[in-house]
Amino acid sequence: MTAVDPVRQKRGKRVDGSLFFFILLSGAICFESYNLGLGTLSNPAPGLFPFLTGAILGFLSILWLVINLLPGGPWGWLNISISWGRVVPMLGGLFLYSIILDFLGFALATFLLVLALLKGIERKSWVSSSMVAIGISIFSYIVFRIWLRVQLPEGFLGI
Amino acid sequence: MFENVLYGFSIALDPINLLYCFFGVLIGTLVGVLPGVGPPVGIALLLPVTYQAPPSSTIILLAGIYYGAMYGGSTTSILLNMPGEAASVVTCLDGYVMARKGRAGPALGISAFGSFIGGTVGIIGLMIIGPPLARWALKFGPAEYFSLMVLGLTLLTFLGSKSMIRALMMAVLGLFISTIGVDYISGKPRFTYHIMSLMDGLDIVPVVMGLFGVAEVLINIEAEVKKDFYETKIKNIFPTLQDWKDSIGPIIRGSFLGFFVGILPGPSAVIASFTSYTIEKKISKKKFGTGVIEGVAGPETANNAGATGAFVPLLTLGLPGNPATAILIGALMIHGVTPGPMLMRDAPEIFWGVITSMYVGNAMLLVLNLPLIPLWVKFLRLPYYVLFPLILIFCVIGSYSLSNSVADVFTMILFGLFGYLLRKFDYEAAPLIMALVLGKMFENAFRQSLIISGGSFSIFFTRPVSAVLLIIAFGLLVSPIFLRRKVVQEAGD
Repeated sequence: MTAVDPVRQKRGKRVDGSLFFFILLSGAICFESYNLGLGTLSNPAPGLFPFLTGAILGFLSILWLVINLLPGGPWGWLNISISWGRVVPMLGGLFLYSIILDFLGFALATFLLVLALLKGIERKSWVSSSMVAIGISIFSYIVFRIWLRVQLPEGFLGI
Repeated sequence: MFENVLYGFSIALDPINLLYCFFGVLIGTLVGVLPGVGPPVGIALLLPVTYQAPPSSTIILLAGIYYGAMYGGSTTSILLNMPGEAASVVTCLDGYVMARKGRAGPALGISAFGSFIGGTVGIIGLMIIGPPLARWALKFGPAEYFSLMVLGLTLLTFLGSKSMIRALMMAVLGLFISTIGVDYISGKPRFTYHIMSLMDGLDIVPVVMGLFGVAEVLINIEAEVKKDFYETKIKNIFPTLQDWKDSIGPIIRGSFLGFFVGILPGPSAVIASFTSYTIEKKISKKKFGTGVIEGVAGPETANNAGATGAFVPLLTLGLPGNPATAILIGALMIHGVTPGPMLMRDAPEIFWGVITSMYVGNAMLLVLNLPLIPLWVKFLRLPYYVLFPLILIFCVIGSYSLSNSVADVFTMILFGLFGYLLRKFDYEAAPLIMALVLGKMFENAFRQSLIISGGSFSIFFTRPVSAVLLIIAFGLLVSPIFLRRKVVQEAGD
């Protein structure tokens, strides 16, 4: 019977999909860097340094994989739970916000973003969402536009 | 040195710089009070505001945010049992219990005084060690710089992470990301794929906003953060004579421990506070975790001394020790100032101005912190659904206002998703940010060293300082193997 490695048991052996992502990424980095040209050691070309970073990244990823797959106790696939129902709408909202910012202007775009976040993700009522959205829009406008004088788009409303 | 200090005070006491310092420490305290908004995000958010300001005023403001956050973090630890800043985690253990026993006032008071003393000792240490270190570092060539950065990144991954290999992966990834853009030597675009906005590379601000700001919000909205707010009247904020007798030892030990730990790369303020707590627990006859004032005094002193210590490598070597100081490096570069040992010689107004402004800032914090606690408490009552849209808007506007470009906002969003996934898969963003900031200098030093040596790597080992630094770095890299063997042997016994 193989003794269980107490260090690995304490840390928990785990393998997850990110390692395969980084292995693929390192391959892509090395490939693209090679195309940029590696030059020579005495005259390094633009591709040498990124090639080395890609190679080291790949080596470290494979090393981690090997360490966790060595015999000495069970290993498991790390299960990650991602709240796509919240992450996607939030990032999508930010993406749309940045697109409409120039057209609608900062004040209106901010109001719509906050309203969408509170109503869509936090499931607050229309009244509280609207009140908080108005409050945050005004506060942000005062801070950025008036106090810090940051150049912000005015949009078709001119505010 | 005395003339330099006087010169520094002439910069720091300029009315405009006093205002910047005040603003910085005030915002910093708020950043420290609010959970989920750390110093890196706070500094990055205010960076665009400083574009029109002189470099010395910029660093005074941004530095104020960094050490101000250390003061603010203790407030939430003591009143809320929720650290506003990672360096204040241990303060919860005894600080919150003190609050429940009706001693929130002395806890907050000793925290503020201890932070002031720790910060002051740190500043004196910075003044004594900084100049000779900067003069010594002037003799460094590209090989020494390269090795120093290798050691810095290795030390960061060794000290601050659960898994050194995964932290190194992040550091290497950060180095790769720094290569995106036009190669400064050949003029060839690298990894830009004809996207114009990538020609200048990725700016540090949207990356930090994404990795720390947006990602933090994405993590926090998954689960409602329950605030265990203890309703208590805060009275007697001045510690009693007995409190001082109990605290003076931890404060003195915390000051020196914190400062020297702070010089090391990594989450120095966090490590300093944990180490201080551990030491005080071992030394004291009292039972820690039951509301012992030493459990607040030591760590809070150490984290401020640590935060000040982090300015030693920043101002003398141009090396950041953590994400917050990495952004300060970025701020200097944006203002056309080259960080490094030449800073003291070429920009003494920045070097001495920042150091002396820390005295001023610490004094402001001591005076401001205690009376403003009721205000901070009001901020703490803000529900998260009001706070997170504000954080997101600040992040978006902070990124957008860099160059009025939506491309920077897209970068922020992408890194927000990336940062969220990194947290989920248990990777740390700090090494990535550090490496991203150092990347161009790192590559520059590497290429120059190879050109000087005619392509031979021996240059890194034939120059004594470089060799020593690399040997230490190698030792740190392989030390987990020996530590592991020791644990296995002990388990076998």
